Amino acid sequence: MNLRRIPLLLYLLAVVGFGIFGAIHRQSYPDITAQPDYLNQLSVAVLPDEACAMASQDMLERFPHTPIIARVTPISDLIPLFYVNQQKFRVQQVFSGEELSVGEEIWITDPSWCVLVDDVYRHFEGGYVAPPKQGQEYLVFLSRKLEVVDGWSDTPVYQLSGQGMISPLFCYQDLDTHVDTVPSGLLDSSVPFSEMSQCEFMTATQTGMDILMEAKHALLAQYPCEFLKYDNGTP
Amino acid sequence: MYFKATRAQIKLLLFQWGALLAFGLLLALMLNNFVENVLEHQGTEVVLMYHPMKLLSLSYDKTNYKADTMMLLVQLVPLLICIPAALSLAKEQHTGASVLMASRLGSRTYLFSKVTAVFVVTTLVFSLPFLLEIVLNCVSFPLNATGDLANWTIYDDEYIQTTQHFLLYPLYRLSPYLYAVVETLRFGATMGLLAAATLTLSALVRVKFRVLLLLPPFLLLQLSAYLSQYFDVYWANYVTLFHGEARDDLVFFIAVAALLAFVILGTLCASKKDWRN
Repeated sequence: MNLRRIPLLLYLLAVVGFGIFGAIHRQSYPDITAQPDYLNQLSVAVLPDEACAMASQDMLERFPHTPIIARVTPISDLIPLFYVNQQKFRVQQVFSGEELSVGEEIWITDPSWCVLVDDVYRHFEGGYVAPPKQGQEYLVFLSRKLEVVDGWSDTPVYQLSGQGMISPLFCYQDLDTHVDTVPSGLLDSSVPFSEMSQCEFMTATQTGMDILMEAKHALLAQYPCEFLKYDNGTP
Repeated sequence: MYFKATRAQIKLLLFQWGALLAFGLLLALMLNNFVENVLEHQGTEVVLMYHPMKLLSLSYDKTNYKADTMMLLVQLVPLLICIPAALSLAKEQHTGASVLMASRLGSRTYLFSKVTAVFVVTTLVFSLPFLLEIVLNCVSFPLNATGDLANWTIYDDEYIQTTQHFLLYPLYRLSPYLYAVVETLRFGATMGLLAAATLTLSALVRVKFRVLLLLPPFLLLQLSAYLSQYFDVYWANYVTLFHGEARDDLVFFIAVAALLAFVILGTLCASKKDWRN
């Protein structure tokens, strides 16, 4: 054999060997988001009462001033991406803003939405509101349309207004408003998501939940859903 | 005649010890980066895993996380450019083989086939290890991972601005994998062009010691590094992948055009020389 072929053979063996090494390690990458109801394996932060009071003030004073306000309905589940989540909605009614049109499909995202999973931390950040459920109607307050540089998509992406402590996304129907679980310690403001998954807001106490529900009803009354009847601001 | 001569010279140059050595060094650098990535990121959740292409040795984005491979590359590449093939003409002039070849093929065919062969071989030596890394990364990392090593989300303003500055941004938008392949070939071709320019210089100016021919591309690249404190001309900014900082891409195209013009005109000039001396 020509001596000069030997290095080539060694190079080829090295590449194949390292390829096998890499292929074996590929099995080590878990994908929690591929499991159904994966959020139930995560914890979620809850708002203490003082923060709920501030958040309710934001809801009534700041949210109505956002550029785009609409009623939407989710048409997909929450999609987790790299340090951000997004969800697809269909626009049902536009209260303000010229960017949206009724019937349009849009992605909605928020910088605070993400799934964080590593050896120590298994956490879901959802802006202290329950992830939107398909079949429900939501009032959303959007700040702007986002530019997309990855891939080509016809569906525009909008960002929720970042002006408050909670994500400005409110269900027209009341979800579960009972708070049964409280954080375990002084320095721990997290609870298992499975115990809050049906709740309207992620609050530490019932008092906090009541504060936010009152603010939500006052806000929804300003932007009524044409298909729902209201009783003193409650759908 | 030209294509036959070029093919023969490529076959000859590909299996020279210089080409094998340069290829081996770049392959070792690449495999080191690959193993580092595999060991560093094993066990990471897919949703929080970085994009496999952004972990490549030639990826500028990777310097947001760890810059050791890039530091080695920018120091090694200027020294390696001429090793695979660019010294071959000087060697043939020294042994007298150039006289024989020039008389058989004609000096113009001989030189142009030599320049083309040097370009092709150097391009192969500099791009093949990194093309292999693309394959290895596709095999070893989850393909649905999308993370950026600066930990920006796809909707962050900084990420959007940076991505739009990529040299072939529309190609990246179409497919990051295709972008990585094309940009790796562009990296190799740029090194190939530098090697071809060095060969042209050796055709124009006879040097007593072949090792001196390592200097022109080395000094040119070092000069670009030195001048980068005043102008936007640092060579690594124009040949690395996922480079999103503001650059003047016209600089790169002018440099390539100038080198190409030098290679073509210089080879034409050199072909008029008397190769019997």
